[in-house]
Amino acid sequence: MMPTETDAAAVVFKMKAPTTGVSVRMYNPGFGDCLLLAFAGGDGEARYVLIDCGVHHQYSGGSARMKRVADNIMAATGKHLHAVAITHDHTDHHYGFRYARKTFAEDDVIIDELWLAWIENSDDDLVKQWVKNKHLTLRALTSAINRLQQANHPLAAAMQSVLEFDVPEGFAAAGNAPPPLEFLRGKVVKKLNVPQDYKNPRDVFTIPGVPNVKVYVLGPPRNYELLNVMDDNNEVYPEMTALNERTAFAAAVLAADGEARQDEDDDLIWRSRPFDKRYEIQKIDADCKMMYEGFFHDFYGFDSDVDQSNEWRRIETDWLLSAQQLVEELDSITNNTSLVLAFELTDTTPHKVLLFVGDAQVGNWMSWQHLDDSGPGEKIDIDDLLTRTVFYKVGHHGSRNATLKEHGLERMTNSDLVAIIPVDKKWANNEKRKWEHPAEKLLAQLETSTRGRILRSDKIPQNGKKPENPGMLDQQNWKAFTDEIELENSDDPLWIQFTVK
Amino acid sequence: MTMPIQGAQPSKSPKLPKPANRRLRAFAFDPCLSQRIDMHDINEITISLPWEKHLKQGPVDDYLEVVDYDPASQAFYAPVNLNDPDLLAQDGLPPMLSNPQFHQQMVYGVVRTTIRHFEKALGRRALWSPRKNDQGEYEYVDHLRVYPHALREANAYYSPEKKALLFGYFPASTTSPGMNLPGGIVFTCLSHDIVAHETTHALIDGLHRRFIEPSNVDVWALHEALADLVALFQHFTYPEVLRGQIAQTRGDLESQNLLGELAFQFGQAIGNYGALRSAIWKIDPETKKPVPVEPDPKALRQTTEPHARGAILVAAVFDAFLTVYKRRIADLLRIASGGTGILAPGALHPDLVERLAQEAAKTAGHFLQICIRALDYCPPVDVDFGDYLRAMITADADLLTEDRLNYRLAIIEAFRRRGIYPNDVRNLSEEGLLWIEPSKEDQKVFQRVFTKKILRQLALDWGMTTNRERIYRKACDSQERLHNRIAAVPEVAKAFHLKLDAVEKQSLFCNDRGVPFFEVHSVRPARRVGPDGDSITDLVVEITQRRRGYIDPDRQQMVDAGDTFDPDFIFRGGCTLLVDLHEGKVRYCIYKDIDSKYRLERMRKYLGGDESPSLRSTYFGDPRQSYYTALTGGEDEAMGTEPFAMINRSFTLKEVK
Repeated sequence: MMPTETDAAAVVFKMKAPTTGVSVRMYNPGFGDCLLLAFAGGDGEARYVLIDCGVHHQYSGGSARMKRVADNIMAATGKHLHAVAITHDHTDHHYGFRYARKTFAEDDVIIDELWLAWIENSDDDLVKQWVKNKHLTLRALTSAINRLQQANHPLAAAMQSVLEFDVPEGFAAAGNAPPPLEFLRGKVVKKLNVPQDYKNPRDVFTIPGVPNVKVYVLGPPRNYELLNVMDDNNEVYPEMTALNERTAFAAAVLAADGEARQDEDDDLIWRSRPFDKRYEIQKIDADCKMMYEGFFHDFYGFDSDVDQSNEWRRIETDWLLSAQQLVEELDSITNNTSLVLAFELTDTTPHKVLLFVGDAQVGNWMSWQHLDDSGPGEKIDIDDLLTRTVFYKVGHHGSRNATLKEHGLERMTNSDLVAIIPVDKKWANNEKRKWEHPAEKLLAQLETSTRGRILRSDKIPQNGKKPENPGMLDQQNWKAFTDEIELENSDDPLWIQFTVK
Repeated sequence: MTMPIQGAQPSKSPKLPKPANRRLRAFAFDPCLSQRIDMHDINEITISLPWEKHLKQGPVDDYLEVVDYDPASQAFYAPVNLNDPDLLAQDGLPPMLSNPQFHQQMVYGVVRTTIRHFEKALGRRALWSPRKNDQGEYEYVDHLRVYPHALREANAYYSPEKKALLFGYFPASTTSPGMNLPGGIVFTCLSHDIVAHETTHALIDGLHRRFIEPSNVDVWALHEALADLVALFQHFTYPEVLRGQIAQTRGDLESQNLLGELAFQFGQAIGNYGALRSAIWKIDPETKKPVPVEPDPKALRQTTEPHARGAILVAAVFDAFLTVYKRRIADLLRIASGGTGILAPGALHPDLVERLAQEAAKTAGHFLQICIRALDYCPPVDVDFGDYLRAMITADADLLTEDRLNYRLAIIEAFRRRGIYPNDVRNLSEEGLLWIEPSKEDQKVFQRVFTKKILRQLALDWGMTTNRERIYRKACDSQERLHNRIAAVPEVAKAFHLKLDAVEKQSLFCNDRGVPFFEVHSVRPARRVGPDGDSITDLVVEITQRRRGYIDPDRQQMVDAGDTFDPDFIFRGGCTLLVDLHEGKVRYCIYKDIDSKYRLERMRKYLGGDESPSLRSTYFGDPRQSYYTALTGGEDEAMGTEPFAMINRSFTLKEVK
């Protein structure tokens, strides 16, 4: 339902769209992305697009904060979102639909369209392989990290917290409520049925009712290597899990874990062993003093030994550390599945561009270079888009490898460039995590490129003050910048917004 | 009828001579190459090792113990007994992938060969770096532990904490298997070059245990480069490997690029590991053939990743090797071509092939020796490429006064072309690069320490027949004597470039009387050839000191003035002395000042820099900083970190893939 003229409170809070261009509101839900865009419709009414709505599940107070954000979104949009885009399947990008599900689930809330990348289409053959691999890897990693934790390994905690991007509350908890993406699929008016309903690179589309905006899909690429899956559909045994470095490691971890192991793993476990069974000596046999004149006792040693002088040289957990690489790889792959959108404002001259990259990492960025090659969909000249980019949502909370230099930032040469970073540095960089969000070096580069026009969700000025000029722009130009900024006037402001005209 | 039993009267049978060598079969290249028909013939080599009478099942001998436990498969594999008559009679097991005992045999053979090259080059027994036990005391480590199947991943590393080599295995990639069977298992312990590479890490750690500390951009890179160089030159010392290749690719002799291309092939066979792929050769995108890479003097400044940076040094040394090799075979080519130097078409004469292979093997042997000997001429801490160049030149000049085949010139030229030179020399001539002899005044000071009496007491019997543990104990004893002597005459500090005054800079680690600690890190003999051609033994002495380091220079100043803060890193200084035993004269004092502002600043910049923009460093921290966090949190050794595993896993280039 649209609010009526007499609904004073709602009118006050409703987010206005500029007559040309777009207003972008960045919420501060904690550590996570939540961006609300307001475009002017052809009929004079605003159209709202929500790009991501999440807070990291470990963020304390995240749930309460997210509910405040959701209430604000409801008020700002009059409970009508014309589109919701979820860039990728990580909690810091969609957990709003878990924490504030009740708010969004209400009957009078309308979501017209759901924009998801092709990677979320579970009927896609490539996706099927990726999901299957991912599931195996996740089970193995959970088990490997558990074992490292039991061995008090110093890296275990760090690995756990990265893994949690993909398995927020462990496998058990995931069943209680529909995951955010499932909730949205059910809620949205225009359902996602066929492959064409998902976004593919090179798709160019418009927002219903908005005449002067073109949306370009730049990523994620349909790239097998990026997903670490086979590109060979003619495999002899399609049901068999391919044996590679990752799956062989996963098999080894699962082989030893009675709880995590499933029957379907047996075949993989068997295939991944390096030698024929007849060469293998079980630990219980090696422990026998008679075996090879006690060789393994003398040179390896067992827990049963009185003499533990060999203990420092044993290698029970060393091999598990390759999990670190897998954790990172998995996180990187999911980040790389980010839906990347460029909004072109066709009623400005030259046509200004706003770039939203989700958490895309190097692989995703690099693939844009080939969007002008032959292939399905429209050819996109990425250099041209980057040159016209005046607004950049910085990737992956400002980490170093999610904003390309030569093929990215250095090509955003527009003198009006503004950057926004959803991040909470204090939380990300705390004793436990020490994540480099945002990276100092990237910040410095952004400072130069934008001449100080950076908005951060963890640095929204209090009580309605405008951001201070760091001194790289003259006062007149700085004022022109801050004139386009609006923010919540409070001592704990929930949002800041910028209008591109 | 029965025959009389001959062996029934042992007392009367003549005593048999002990065998001189033990011969063991191994793969020359990665086993995947033996699946290629043209490589099959040359992929088997027979490694010849000196007869080791203490060899036991495992194999276990005086230097190492191969323990085959595969934790990922929860399996042990039976230790091979190389003394089994069946194996003795056929040079060990034949090369095969499917039998773990062959893996144990091969890994043993290659590790042992690498150790032998070090011992030959240095003229003394090799020791492993001592282990710091739970009580904080250094302990002698007799055996390097070797686990042929320790990891299930494309990785292999030396663990300084466990004094062990851990080799991984993994299924070949199904998407780009290359020459491998898709899904077939690749064993890193069956790659000659990987085994030699990791063993070299262990041997260098035995010589210089501070060379695993990333105090500047070159330290880890040098470790990697040397490991690559040893693996490569060691590979070239097997004439049977070269013979087949030289005969087969004879056309390349005119362009004389054969060995470079061979090195490139080695690099390919073992994947990304081996710098040779990118540093010397690259694939021409049009012809798809390998072509030499023009050296780029700017590359050094832009390359910080240890393997890639090390590759530049590898390329430089390899370039010098090729120059010398070409010179060595020029006469052979003239003889074989009636004086023109241009060979007639058709197959090469087998004698020529043999001679060319011999020359290549000999040159490789020399370079191997030059690379290893230089380690005795390096500073004990914070080494960089420039230091290493000076060490190579000085060490070689000490061995061969006359540089008849211009080895040193070739090395200097190759380094210059890649922009590698020390920043403290006036010119890049041979004389300019030799380490400088101490002044007369310093010499007088040194003689107060290195008195005839002291020199007599320093035990230097590191002979090949001496028991290694005994050597270690005597060396510890010598270190203590020398330490006491220096502590007794602290006024000598300046000549040694040490700080021994009760404190001016409080960030130095000091004893309870406020006197800075110093550690006599090593006392060992080094052999050289004197001007008359006689063999002379020098004494190598390494002394180190440490100081608390802070990324923030202001904080450093505050601590120097007496404040206390937990350090961000450990800053080390010290010197390496080469002492002429007869005259008690210090021939070279190679030092790194502990109060060098320049070095401290360089280290700050390096540790504070952000040169590995990987997702890993976003989440798990920068490997260099992690090393020092572990170091400053603990005692004198960085416990709980595996620097080499970290280097391999943290950077985009990997040793094995």
